[in-house]
Amino acid sequence: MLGALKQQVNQRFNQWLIKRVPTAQVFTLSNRNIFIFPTLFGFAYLVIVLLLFLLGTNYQNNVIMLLSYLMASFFVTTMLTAFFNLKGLSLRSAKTHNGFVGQMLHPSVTLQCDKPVFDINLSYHNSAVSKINTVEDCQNAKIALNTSKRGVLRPGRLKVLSEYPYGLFQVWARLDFDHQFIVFPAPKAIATKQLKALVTSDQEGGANLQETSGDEFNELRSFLPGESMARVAWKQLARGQGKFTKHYRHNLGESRYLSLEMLPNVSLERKLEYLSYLVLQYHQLNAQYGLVLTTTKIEINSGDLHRDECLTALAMYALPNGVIHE
Amino acid sequence: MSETKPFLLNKSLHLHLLLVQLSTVALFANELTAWMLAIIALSFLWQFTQLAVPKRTRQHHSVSTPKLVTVLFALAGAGVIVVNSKSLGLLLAMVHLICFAYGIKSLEIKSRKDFYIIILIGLFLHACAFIFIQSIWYALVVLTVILLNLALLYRIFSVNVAHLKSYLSSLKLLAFSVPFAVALFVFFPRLSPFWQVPLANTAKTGLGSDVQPGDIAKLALSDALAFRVEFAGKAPSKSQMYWRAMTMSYYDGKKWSRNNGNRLPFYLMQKPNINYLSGDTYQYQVMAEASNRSWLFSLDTARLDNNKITQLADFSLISDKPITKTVNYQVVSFANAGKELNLANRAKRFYLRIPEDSNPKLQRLGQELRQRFNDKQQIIDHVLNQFRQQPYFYTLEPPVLVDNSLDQFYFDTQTGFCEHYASTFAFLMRAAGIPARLVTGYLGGEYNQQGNYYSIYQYDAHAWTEVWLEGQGWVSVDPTSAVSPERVSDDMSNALRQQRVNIAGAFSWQAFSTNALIAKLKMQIEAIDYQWNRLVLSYTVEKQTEFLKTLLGQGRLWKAALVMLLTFVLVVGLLWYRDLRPKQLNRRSNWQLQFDKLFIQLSKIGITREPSQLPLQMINDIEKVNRSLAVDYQQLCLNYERLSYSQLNAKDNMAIAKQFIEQCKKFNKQLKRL
Repeated sequence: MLGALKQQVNQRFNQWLIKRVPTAQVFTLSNRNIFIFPTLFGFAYLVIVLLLFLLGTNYQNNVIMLLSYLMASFFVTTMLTAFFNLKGLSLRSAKTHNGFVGQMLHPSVTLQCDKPVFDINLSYHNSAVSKINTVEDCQNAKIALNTSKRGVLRPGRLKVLSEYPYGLFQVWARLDFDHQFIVFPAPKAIATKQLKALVTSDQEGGANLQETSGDEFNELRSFLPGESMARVAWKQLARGQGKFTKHYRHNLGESRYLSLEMLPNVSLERKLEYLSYLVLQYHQLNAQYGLVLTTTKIEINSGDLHRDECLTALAMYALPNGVIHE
Repeated sequence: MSETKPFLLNKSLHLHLLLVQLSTVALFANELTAWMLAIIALSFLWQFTQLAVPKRTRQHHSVSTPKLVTVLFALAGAGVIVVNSKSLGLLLAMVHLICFAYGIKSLEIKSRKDFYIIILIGLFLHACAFIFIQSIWYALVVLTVILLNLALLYRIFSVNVAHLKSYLSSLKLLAFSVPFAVALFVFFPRLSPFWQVPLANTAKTGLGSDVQPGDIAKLALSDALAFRVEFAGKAPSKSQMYWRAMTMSYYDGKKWSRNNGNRLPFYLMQKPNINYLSGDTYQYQVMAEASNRSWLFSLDTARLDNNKITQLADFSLISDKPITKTVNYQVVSFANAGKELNLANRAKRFYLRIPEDSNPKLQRLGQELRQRFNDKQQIIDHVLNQFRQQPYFYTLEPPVLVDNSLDQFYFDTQTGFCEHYASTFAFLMRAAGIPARLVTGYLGGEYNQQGNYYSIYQYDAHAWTEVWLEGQGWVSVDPTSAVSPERVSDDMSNALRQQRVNIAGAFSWQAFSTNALIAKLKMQIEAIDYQWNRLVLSYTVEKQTEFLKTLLGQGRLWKAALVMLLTFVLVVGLLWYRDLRPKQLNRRSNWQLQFDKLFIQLSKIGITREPSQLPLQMINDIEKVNRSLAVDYQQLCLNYERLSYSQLNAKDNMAIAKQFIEQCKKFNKQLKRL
């Protein structure tokens, strides 16, 4: 009963918030979008001020009275100062941001102001709080978001909160940047020889994929997340030269399509993880590749944009709306 | 949400907290018992050593106290409070408890909540300090401690901001809070006390209810203020300023007393009987300091209209409650009023009573005088003449009398302070059949030019006598005026002043204030304190009603509300305006200005910088002029780039900027030499 009521109130509030503070890419904080309310400490402070008033009245002590009035007045001044601290602060954040499952997403927010702004706490509904002590002029901030599932992560409104100057008030704004973060399947390494050579007639181009049986050592490359630990070049790591993986020459051929069918018989999620790894591999080799996922088909291509397109397709595959609400 | 996070104070903040706590507890140094002070000091010392000794195992500088230590502190403090609770009284026991909690709470700061509690208890204690002292200087000290407390809180929310700024910002915010606070103080309706509160049983000061030889001489060593008087219109001459506190009519052979045990003399509760005659009237306001006693002060034959102060039959004023804080009252006095022209026989007998066996020599002298002179006035004159002509001395350090024998004083030592003379005189008068009593109070006062008022200090304490004469009523007689006329005309003779300095020690206001400039400064400081007393401390419910009535007239309640609202709007507007003001954010820093100067110098020798040119690109031009200059220039440019483009922390930035400015100056010098 109470829960339902609360939910309804929340819903009403959210609808009002959508009207009051609509989606945008840049927000400048003003009395339109700033909220202010005493903290628990603020209320405790008020109780103490009231106690001082009683003390002063009962002792008919004018100095204590004066002090209680000064502290009450100070409460108001603090409220205004707390408001002016955030007022005028501009926040800008890109709509999208990508990452892999299991990794932290670090969407960034650019804060800009024409006066120093203190004690800024940025957070999403379910994220840890990212704290910035002082913003002078312009500063970038990153918020850490946990990812657990592939798909689109909508973290909701970004909360900007400050308790400057005395923690008596919390001043906050809830800004809707319409954030939609794409969480790619975590890359899972797979050896090339496990792949089935799928050469079907209707495949266009890059059909002549040949695989030499022997793996021939080719080069060392920087470690990529998801790569097998067995491939790490321990010698180099021990010498402190960095984390590398050994790579062997496979004749991957000119170009090919990556698809679910070429993978061994494992769960769909695992398959997507393998594909995620393969996309990264091909991308790093600067090879030409495409992606076929039952109905979706991405033409053979290369480059950063192409990689992201493929990974996005993997992230969204077989999800009704492709959306995770967090 | 922040409450859930672990909260750790760094070393600097914890030291700041210790400073706040130390100064807060110091405000109660007079109220707390030595044991409690010791325990709290020990708690601070423990925290300080924890902070000062670096621990390798400790990751943070915050203090984590072993349970045992906390428990020991708690037990010790509780023990002290329980043991002393009887003697402390309720108020001081509470103060002990709060101070103690405040002192040891910082042993365990685990969360932000704990920290907030310390801040709030601190604030409460700062207000409590005013229960005991309310002077403006003390108020300023407390305000400083409050500022320290607020700055500490401020630093939590503005990390990395310069230490000084936390004080300045807090001070600014406090200053912005003053107008609205003053408006509330003046216009917000005063309320009567809601319930009875325990009063501090602090030491009583000033005149006591009995006098034995040596008492007033002791009081004369005190520099404390007794009360202040502001005359509306003319003031009597200093030698007429006999401020009456009480009369003493009981003599038990050793001392004169006001009461017999706890009882007031029967007739004192009657209405005073004054015949107002023509003559000078003085209208004045008395502002008495807290003495924790009931008696108040006025010139003789005062008339006042105050429901909290009663005038007794001996014309002394008495407050219905002990004076625990400054009180303020209006009095009118009549210089030539007849005091109790008719005295009942019973009262006459009462004022002639002396113990039969005390001071036999004086009793005999009294009887002799009664037989020798027909007129009572002649007796009085004779005795005063004796004081004048015989070798009587007036001194702060009279020889000790055996059993307070007035005989010994009058016939042997002949050396004493006002109470010796007054006691002896009153005794002698009674022995000679003249009703007499001792009067204690203060004589004279120090005029403060800046404030146009008189300050009466404890060292002005005085004792004189009153004798009752047929047809004249009570007549004041001051035997001191016969012995040491300058004591009456001046505040205190030079010899006496020197004596005070000798007794009180090398440092004393009296010795100090002989310097004219310092004396003037002292007057100025006291004038400020007086205004504080007049305007703030004595702004009572009645005063407020009266003030608002004259200021606002009809409908004063809503008008007062309007004034408060306007002040509020004014402050909000002021802050809003402050925010809107254009900010000079891109102000060029010192090193940039120095660099600008360098280019001005360069342009003088024909090397100008295009707006698109980077500083380093100009090195070729400089090299053409001088090679070694170019080398210097290159080094200087390296620093310029570091200052301009790398993210430096404040400390490094300052060091490099300093170096850079030095380099620029050196470069400019060399350039000039070319």
